[in-house]
Amino acid sequence: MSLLSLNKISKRFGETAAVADVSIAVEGGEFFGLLGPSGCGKTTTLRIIAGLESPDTGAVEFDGRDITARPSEKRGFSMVFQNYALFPHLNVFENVAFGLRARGSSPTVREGSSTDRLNERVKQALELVQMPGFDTRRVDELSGGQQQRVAIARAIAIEPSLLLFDEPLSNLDVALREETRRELRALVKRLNLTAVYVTHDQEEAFALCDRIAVMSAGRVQQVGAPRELYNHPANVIVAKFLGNNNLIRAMRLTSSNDPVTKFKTLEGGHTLTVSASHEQLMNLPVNNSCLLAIRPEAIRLNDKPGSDNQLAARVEHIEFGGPTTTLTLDANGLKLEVLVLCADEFVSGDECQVTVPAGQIRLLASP
Amino acid sequence: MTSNRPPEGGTPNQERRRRFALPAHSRSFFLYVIVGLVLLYGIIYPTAHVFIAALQHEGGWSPSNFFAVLLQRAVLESAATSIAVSVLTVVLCALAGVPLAFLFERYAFPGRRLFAALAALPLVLPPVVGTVAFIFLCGESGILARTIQHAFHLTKAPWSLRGWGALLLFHTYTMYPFFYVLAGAGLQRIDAGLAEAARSLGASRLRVLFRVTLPQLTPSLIAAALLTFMTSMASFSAPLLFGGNVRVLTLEIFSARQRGDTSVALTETVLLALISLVALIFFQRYEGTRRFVAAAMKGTTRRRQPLKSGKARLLAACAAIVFSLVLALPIATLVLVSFSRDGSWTTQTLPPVYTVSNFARIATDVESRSVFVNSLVMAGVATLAALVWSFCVTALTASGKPSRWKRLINVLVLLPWALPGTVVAVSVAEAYGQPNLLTGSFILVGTFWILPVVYFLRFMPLVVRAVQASIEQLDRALEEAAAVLGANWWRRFWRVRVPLVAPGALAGALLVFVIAMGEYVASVIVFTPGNRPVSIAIASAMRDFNLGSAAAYGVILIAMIVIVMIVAGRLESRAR
Repeated sequence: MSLLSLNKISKRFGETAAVADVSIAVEGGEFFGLLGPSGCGKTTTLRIIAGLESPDTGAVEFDGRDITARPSEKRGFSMVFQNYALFPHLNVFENVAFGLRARGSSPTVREGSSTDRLNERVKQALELVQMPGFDTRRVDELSGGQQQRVAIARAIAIEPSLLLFDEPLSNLDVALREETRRELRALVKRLNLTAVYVTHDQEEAFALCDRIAVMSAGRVQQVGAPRELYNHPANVIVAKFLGNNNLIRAMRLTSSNDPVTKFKTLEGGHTLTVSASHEQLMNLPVNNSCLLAIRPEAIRLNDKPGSDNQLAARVEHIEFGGPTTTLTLDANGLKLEVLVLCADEFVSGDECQVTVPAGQIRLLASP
Repeated sequence: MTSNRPPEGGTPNQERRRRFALPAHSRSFFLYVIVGLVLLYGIIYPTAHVFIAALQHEGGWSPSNFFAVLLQRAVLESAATSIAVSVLTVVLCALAGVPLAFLFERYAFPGRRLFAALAALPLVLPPVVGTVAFIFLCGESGILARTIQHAFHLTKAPWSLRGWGALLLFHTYTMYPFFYVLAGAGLQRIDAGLAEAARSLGASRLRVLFRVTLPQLTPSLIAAALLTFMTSMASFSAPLLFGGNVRVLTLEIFSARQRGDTSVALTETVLLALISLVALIFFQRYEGTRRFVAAAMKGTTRRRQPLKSGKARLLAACAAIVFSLVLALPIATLVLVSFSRDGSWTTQTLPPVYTVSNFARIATDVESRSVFVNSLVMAGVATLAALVWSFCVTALTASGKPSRWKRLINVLVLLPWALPGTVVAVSVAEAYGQPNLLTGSFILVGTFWILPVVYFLRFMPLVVRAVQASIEQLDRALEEAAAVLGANWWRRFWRVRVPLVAPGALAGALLVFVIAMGEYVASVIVFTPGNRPVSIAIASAMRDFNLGSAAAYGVILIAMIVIVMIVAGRLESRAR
């Protein structure tokens, strides 16, 4: 039984459907990501989980109970906001203590002398985010990174049953972001918290999350572990959003539902061998067009002759990117991007042989 | 919901506000009842009463009587006079304020800061105090006239401070800051890059001014024109004390009531209210068509250019000093006169005998002191009420879904600010001057409470606006964060909203407090002899030629205002 589940959640703002028919299940102890471009409905979904928006239809269940109508303050979650939302009129200690005081009636805080217990909890939380001794500082005296840590301390101090993050790292500079990201995951795992993390940054989501729901246009496109999403995108949207893909329009040639099937590309007219699952092929009649995806880094240049899917191509453009170089190739009208570590031997106009490994080609379902 | 916001991205404050902090039904019902009652008793009933009473005659329904009174020559003339005075005031204030704004916003030269610091001074001067100071300085037996008279050995004063000239001069002095301040702020906001782009496209300086700068400044200029027009329509002290034969509506209403000519007073009140409202709607319509949205987000702010040529610097510095003197002289005069012995200053250029007895008397004499105590108490009561009231109103209007009711509440709350003080005072006096359906046998007129009530009604829109502005600036995520952390509505209100809105609200309340302290226009209509505010005491001291006492009252008022403005300024900068 999942700890948190959204059942067919929908929410409209005026004419726009912000969230459409979203169902997600988050397991206890899981670091779950909501990933998608801006405007895809991920923040609205998070706000519905937090109780800051109410869904038009659908239900939110937590620990087996329907909490759709439960107000935010009674959910026992906590949230780290994009701009941190630290209370400017309170110092660091009071910010972290805010949630504890607000829940003052709960027995966990009442045990023993309540002030001692409060001080202890605040101190602990600040130590966990490596900000001990900052108690009396004003929040506007802190750097962005420090504010961010206080915001996290405030959120974990109440020992939330669910921790929500709304792009909390997007206001930090790149170096700090990567460092904080690592600490954040370690912290959440150490405290054995369940987290839902919203981001538009694929790399961040991959680094942080156990599982990710990729959202687009208000809908969940695919849910899975980072590797699974990257290697086996379920549809064009996911394939396009996660990293680069060469999308090749093609037509199925052979009728047998063998794992290895032949396709003919519409541009260039090449015949490609593709490994596809039985059920994918079941839904794709012969002579119907479909999309094939191949990662730029999966294509090989000037491989030993004789392997499958070798095409003759001409180098059209070379883009030097530091550690890697991107080549744009033209194989008889079929444009391919290829990512290599070193392309010093090539100049524009060179002829070459490209290998598109059959096992790396993904047959995409239409969205 | 009608707004078409993108589903997310950015901070959809408005959307958040809707769902968020939607008060529970009982709480919002309670608030609706309070707000509704205050609006009904304070605004809807008195305003409606005046309109209805104006259409009645001797207890019967008589619209024809209303039109008969309306079409009387005196009534029409005073309406035309009011409008003419206001239009001329707007033109003169624009001619004075806009060039000053250009000079002091665009260029740097010695003396600039001095003037900039004093520029808004006339705005905070209570009109009655300003009028008195003006009489001491420019009146026919004032310092300037006497100086010239004695220098040239004239047998009588070189001018008299009466009529159109005097009135318009005073209006320009007190109201030009609307144009100066708003045009200056507008100039600061204009992207200097636009003017540079126009220049690089080959436009001359003049062309840039008329085709680029001034069009962008129009919203500021319209706002300034509106404020000036409304203030001028409501102006009362200046026409009363040196308007001479310029019979404006406010004055006519006052004297019609003094004569006991209720039907004329009511008709003129309705007329004044209608003119003010029409002007407000007209200006706001026009303003709406003239808003420019900056095309580019990033702009370069213009820096003040130092004036390079020596002559220009000298000229500008002289201008700054002269204008600063013009601004400061009336107040300096007031301070000087406040130390003169009552009755000693007759034909001399300057008061001959100086004493601190005027201030000593205010401090010791029970009756003189009671005037200040009255004003303090009444302004204090009105301010506190306005503060509480503004939190009630904004708790309703600044959260939850926008609705027609909330818009109506907003309009009704802001209505008294659009109406001249005379109209507010007359409508309350007329509505609560006899037993009626709403109050039973209780008659408000003649009690202590009439003035605090009128002050509250007149000035509470200022506090409401201040609180609304603070709430709009408030990051919605703060209250949301509090909610997610487990704080209920009450806790969010007291621990998050109130402390964060407090500086802005207090600044607004302090402003209201000082304005109420010097209030005259409405006080003169409804005050009771046992409860005279400072402004009335100043006016009666002037009538008895106790010039020193009148000035001393004014000086203390100004001192209080200065202190409060400094405190309010601090609060506001802390709010930011």
